[in-house]
Amino acid sequence: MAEDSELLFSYARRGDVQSLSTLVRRHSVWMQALLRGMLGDAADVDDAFQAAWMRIIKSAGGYHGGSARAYLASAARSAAIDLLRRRGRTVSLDADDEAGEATVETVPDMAPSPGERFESKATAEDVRAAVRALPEGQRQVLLMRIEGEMSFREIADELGIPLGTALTWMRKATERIKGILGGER
Amino acid sequence: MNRTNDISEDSFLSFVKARLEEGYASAPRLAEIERAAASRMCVSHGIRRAGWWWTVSLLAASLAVVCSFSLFRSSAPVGESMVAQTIELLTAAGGENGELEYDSTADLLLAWQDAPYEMAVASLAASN
Repeated sequence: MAEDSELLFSYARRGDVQSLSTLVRRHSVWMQALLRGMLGDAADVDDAFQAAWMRIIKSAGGYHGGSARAYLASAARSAAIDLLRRRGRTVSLDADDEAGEATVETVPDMAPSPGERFESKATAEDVRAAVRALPEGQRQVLLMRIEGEMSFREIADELGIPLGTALTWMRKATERIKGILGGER
Repeated sequence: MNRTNDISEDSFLSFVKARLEEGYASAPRLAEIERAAASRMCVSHGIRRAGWWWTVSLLAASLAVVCSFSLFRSSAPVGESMVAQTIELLTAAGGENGELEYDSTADLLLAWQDAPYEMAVASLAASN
């Protein structure tokens, strides 16, 4: 099976559309999940998904190696941010994070068996709602980490934040989601 | 202590990931994306091809200019020799004061050096 980076190069250098199709099939699901986490609205996900691939198609020549998945995640994130800006919504990492700090502290510190709860009760909608409730910065770090499978260094570079901040936001995001899902029981 | 911390980070995140990805098709709008990819490639290949033709055309035009200039340069002595012959013919018809006439003709030719040869010759013929 061809590596993602080979497929990207194959399209960028030889115009092999089949390689691009393989990439779309391989990466669609997580890219949509990432977009849904950022945008919330299912219809927006569709538009942003298309826009993300258009972005990848246009800038495929600018891919110079490295993690193809991180490259795709970055394109998806940029497409989502563009869409939010077109809708007049501001995307600020810091401001929302401040709001999130207070909420994290109010997460209830009591819960029954977490494994059982998460596996059996929380639905996809519960999880999506919990992710949507995260402050912007934490949400983006979480999505890039679990969907884009990016390293914390890559995430920090992408968001233009210190590595330590990326790690902290990830920890807070995880704690907060656990808290939200735990509180719904 | 928060018991949610008991759950391993990896399995929790895998769970979140699985839930987030639930219900999504593997390749939505694939046909549209493929069409865009193909047309993008056509455009970029077209630009490359056009660029190649432009380069070739530019080289050909440059060569043509260089060749024309060389031909013009090589034909210059012919013009000069024509002027010399004209002077010779005109002064030969001048009789005894040939040397004086040659000087005045030469002066006239110098004054007319930028005019077409036919005009210069016609002027000289009229003055004689």
